[in-house]
Amino acid sequence: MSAGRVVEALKAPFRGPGRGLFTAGLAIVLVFVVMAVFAPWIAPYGPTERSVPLQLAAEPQPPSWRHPMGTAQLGYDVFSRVVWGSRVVLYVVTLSAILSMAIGVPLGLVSGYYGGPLDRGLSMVMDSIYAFPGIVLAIAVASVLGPSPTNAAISLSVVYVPTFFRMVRGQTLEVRESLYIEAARALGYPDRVTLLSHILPNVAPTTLVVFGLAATDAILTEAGLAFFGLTVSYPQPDWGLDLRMALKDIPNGVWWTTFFPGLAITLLALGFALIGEGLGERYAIRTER
Amino acid sequence: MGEPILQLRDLRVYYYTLLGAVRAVDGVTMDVGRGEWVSIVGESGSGKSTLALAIMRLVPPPGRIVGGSILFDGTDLTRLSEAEMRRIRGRRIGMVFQDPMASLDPVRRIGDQIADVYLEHGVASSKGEAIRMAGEALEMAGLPRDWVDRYPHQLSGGQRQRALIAAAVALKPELLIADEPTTALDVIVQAKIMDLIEGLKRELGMTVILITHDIALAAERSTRIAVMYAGKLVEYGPVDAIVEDPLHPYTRGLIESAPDLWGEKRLRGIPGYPPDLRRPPSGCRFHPRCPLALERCRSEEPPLVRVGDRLVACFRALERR
Amino acid sequence: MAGLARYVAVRASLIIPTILILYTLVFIILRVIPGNPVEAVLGTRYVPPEVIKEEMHRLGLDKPLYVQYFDYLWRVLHGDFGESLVVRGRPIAADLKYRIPATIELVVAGFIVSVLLGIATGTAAAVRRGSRLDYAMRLYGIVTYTLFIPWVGALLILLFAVHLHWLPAGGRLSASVSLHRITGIYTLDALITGNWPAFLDALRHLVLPAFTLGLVLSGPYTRLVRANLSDVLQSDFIRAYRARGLREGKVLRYALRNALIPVVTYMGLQLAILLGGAVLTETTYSWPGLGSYLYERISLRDYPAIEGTVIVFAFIVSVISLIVDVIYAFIDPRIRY
Ligand SMILES: Nc1ncnc2c1ncn2[C@@H]1O[C@H](COP(=O)(O)OP(=O)(O)OP(=O)(O)O)[C@@H](O)[C@H]1O
Ligand code: SF4
Ligand SMILES: [Mg+2]
Repeated sequence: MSAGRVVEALKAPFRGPGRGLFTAGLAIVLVFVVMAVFAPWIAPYGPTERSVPLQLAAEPQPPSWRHPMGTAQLGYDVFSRVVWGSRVVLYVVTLSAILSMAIGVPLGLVSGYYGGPLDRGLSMVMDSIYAFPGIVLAIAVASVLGPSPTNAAISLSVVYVPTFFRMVRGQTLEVRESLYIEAARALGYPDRVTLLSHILPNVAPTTLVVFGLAATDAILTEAGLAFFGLTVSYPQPDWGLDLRMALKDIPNGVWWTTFFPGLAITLLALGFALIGEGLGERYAIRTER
Repeated sequence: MGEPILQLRDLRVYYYTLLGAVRAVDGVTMDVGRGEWVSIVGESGSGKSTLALAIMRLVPPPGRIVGGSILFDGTDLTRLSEAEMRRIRGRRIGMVFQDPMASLDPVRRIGDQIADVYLEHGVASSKGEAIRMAGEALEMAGLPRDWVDRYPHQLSGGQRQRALIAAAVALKPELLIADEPTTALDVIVQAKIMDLIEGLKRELGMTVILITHDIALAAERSTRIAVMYAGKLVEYGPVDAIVEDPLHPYTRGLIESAPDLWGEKRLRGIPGYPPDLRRPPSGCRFHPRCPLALERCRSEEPPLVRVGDRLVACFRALERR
Repeated sequence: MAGLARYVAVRASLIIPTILILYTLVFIILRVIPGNPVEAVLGTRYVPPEVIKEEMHRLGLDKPLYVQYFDYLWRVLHGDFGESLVVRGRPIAADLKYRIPATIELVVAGFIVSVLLGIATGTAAAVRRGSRLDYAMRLYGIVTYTLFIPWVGALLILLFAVHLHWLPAGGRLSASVSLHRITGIYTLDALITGNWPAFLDALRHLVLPAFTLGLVLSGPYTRLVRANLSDVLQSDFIRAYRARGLREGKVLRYALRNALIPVVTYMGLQLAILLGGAVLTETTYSWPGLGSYLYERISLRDYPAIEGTVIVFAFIVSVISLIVDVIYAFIDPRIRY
């Protein structure tokens, strides 16, 4: 692929239908990425630093100029914890996306290309996993691996490998069929290189759309794992865990300790969802949800 | 021809698309007499279906009736409320569509779909009665009475069209509009369906408007033929006159390009394509394809004028008067 | 109908491989991958090796894996999930039996809410296709899906329980209300026994969790109904209905009937997601079902309990997909048995 074509391909999502959704989603995600990368400069306090005088630390303090998102128990600054927490979330989700793509995409290609019993067996297993509630599966895996961000990422990839597998396998089958029909007429069978060179350009946009949707899911599942205490251990910051710890503030009418971490989860998930939606509209790809 | 049952006056129906207004029906004026069988012919895209849907006031958005009137038995349908119009649809005007495979609800029994008509128009007072009447309607359309229990997927194309005709004539409407009712069917079934429509017309004393692009089919049973081109009525007159001595060059082209009796295409077709109805040609809309076009045809629109017992819109046709 | 009966039988027999695959999957994850669950439980303090060995033996974890595989399968098929590692001598099956009805009640209620919300929003969008309302409904479909359940739960509790005092913040039944337990599905039990105060109380407890779950999972229905219904509304048979003078309300009803058939196939998948969502919903609202059980046992590292719960989830998922397929066969006359 020439440099010009790469540039064209990169520009494509910003044009045509769905560009508004895509751009908005990308902007949201970028804000969180910047937050994670520059956390030490953006966050006014450390994640586990007492940010108020000792006598105020016992009770959560409502939002103020000094603490735009208020403070949590032990005097933690909620804003700072939201900023620092983005690091864990993005680490887990990025790692899991890489893992599940690295496993799901090749498996889907091989399965769809060779067909036969291998394909049937793999598909059956993948479909079973796919039909299983993702968060329960992730919780099961994470609970045996033990709580850590990397283990959480591994658990998530167990859930999302089938998503990529199913999509790539379907596309491979489709391309293979159409190539066979075309090639059988003139040349005999298409060789592997031809096949790949036809499949990959088709698979790429779909992979991106599925990535957007899977990442949305993964953010929410990561938050669920954190909520279950399966990513980091308190008081290390992770949005889902912070939300869990703050639930006990609710009977006292304290809203800011749950509101802001939860908002961060939903916003980041929304960012990826919009990217997926925008790309889906751009390439007219219909997904199952 | 008796008193007119339907009078279209300068009817205009446009589709407002993002790329401009498609003038699908653009100033059509015609009368249909009670008891007549009028066939409307024309190439694909000439506005035949739009005209039919306009009479039913069922033009889908972005389409709209933008002008003119539709007098049905003296009432202007364009002025009726939606509720009043609903009482005419299915009761006084029946309609049959092109694709019998898609025109029946796949998940409801045939009988239930026909029974709807009786219930909706207050003719039957109970579901049971309506289903019984639906059975009679099926029988009238040449299907067994007990097929009320069947689902559409259990019927062939021709049988489905019979069921649809049964639903359309269930309340013995005065006017039946059939939009290419046999295009999707094979030739033998085609003839049977046309026979059925003809039989029902006689039995129920209906007026029939048949839409088709097959001028041979139109010639078989019609009293009159109306020829549409690019949203306009270009010629309208008795079958024999139109078929044997077409006045409009477009009608002549249609007849010459029609398949002959053995179903083989004749060599001559009309060269060129129908125009883009968002920007129809100036003057006579047929002029870019017309072998007889004059200079004035480009700029001046030929009016629809009476020539003997027919109407025609062509400058050259007037010369023969 | 013989055809349908045969179809149901064939489809039901397909559930066996599905359950086996999921069982194997869970087994691999929970017994093959990890080190030693006993050590994991006792892990933090020093335990003499003999004790660990004895404990492993008691739980049958010292046998070869393939023996464990069939052993456990055999026991599970007989409703025996072993004993808790944490609460000694407590059969896990008893816990599960107590918790399952709570989860089913929540999932069914959440399912109903999500379907109703999805149909309402999707229909509104399809009928006014291209309008501002349509746009809003599309956004609804995207945004609701990205809501984090415990967050929505927390906000709803704040509003309706803490500030307005309209609804309880959690649990299934007020302490002051007594109810004779029959199925374990409280609203149903209250109805069976004609216990109206208990019914209202159980319902009041159910409202927030069910709404939370239903709202978050209604988005896919919004999309599906919107897409299917706008296709159906443009189809020929709808035009044919109108041409026979049917009222628009009736036409819409028939259109929906067609549009909803493909939606049913999605329900199987969606119910699995609902079960996942229920885990978080239960934990947020202290709803004593399988999800909060999972939560408790994970913090206690009670492996047999975790394993049993996950297997039960797998079983429920398989049964649900069976039920959905059978329903589909019933409502679509075109289906070939
Ligand atoms: N929903 C619509 N939106 C926009 N334009 C439309 C729509 N329906 C029809 N048209 C346009 O209106 C014109 C007339 O269409 P119409 O269907 O009435 O033609 P027709 O004579 O029935 O053709 P056919 O023989 O193919 O059925 C065509 O140019 C068509 O493209
Ligand atoms: S008016 Fe002119 S262009 Fe039109 S049909 Fe007649 S001769 Fe041809
Ligand atoms: Mg047509």
